[in-house]
Amino acid sequence: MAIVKEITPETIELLRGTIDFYLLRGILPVARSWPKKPKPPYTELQAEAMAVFAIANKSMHRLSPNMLETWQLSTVGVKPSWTDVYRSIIMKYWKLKRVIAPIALNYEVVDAGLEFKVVWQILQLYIDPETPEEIYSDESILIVKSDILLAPKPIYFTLLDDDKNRLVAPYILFEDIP
Amino acid sequence: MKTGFVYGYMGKPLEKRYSYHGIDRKCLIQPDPSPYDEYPFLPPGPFWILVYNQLFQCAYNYCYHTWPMNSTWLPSSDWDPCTKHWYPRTKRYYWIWLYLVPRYPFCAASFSIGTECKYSAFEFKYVPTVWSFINNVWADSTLICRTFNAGPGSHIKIWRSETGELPPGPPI
Repeated sequence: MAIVKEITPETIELLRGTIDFYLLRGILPVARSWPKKPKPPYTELQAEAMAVFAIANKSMHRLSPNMLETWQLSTVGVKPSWTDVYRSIIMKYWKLKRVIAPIALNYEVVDAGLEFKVVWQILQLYIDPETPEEIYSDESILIVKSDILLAPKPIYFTLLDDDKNRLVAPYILFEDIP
Repeated sequence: MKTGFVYGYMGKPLEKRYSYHGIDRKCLIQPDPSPYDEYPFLPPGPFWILVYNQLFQCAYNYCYHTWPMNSTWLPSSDWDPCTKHWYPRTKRYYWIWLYLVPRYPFCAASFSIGTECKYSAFEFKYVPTVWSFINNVWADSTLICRTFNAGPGSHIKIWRSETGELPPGPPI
């Protein structure tokens, strides 16, 4: 890509199909080689990335209304939409581990007296279409309320793997349990 | 997986500035602080499942305790380095509890020790003794334990993993 300083409409027409001229972000005239849609055969990695992207898009429709609302609220005021964040978590996790990150379909904070726990409903999808998906429920160990109540606020919680990589869950505001 | 608690104003966007072809632009992003506290999941399974439970005795002779053929024998995902190995080449964990009462004057026991790719040497005991440990089955055979000269009241229990993966704790 190169910044263009002077160009005539005739030159643009002459180079159509070879060089593409356009305004980057609507303000900066630039030129790039004419875009080509990648065609099969894709490399193995390209094909896998496409499959992961498609899985990420499809899986959004599986979220519970509760989780969907939390996702939407979590990105109010920021430039990336919740779907951008959702997809980017899955793609980054795949880049890191070559698997689909577990997806939180729903969550619940369960009060157990002096303690509480977070129960997640998790969807595990696989790149291999032959491998059946798994839906299971998992819960955190009991968390002592007083520990969390003493911590500085606000507190959010989310889902992580054992290496502290973020899994597919939004930042959920933790509201104090009296 | 675990639940991570994060301190920060996640609802308050951060301004990130970046240079795009020489033009300085800004973008509002969500903060992404690392968790200050993490809570692993419960249950910490898989659990142990009892597959063999027998009172036995064998006068001046061997008793053989093999893996029960009617029990599902799930592989773990841990690679088995032994030359003799199962297919797929991963470990099959077991937990054994053995209470051995000697028939006069002694008794002895030997176990399948997959971590050392062999059967252990016979351990001779002159008083009632308890063994309780975890290991994986050496692929020489499905034999888990041999006892010699076990007296009345000897008792053995063998557990397998619920999923094949190594359970984090002892059998309940």
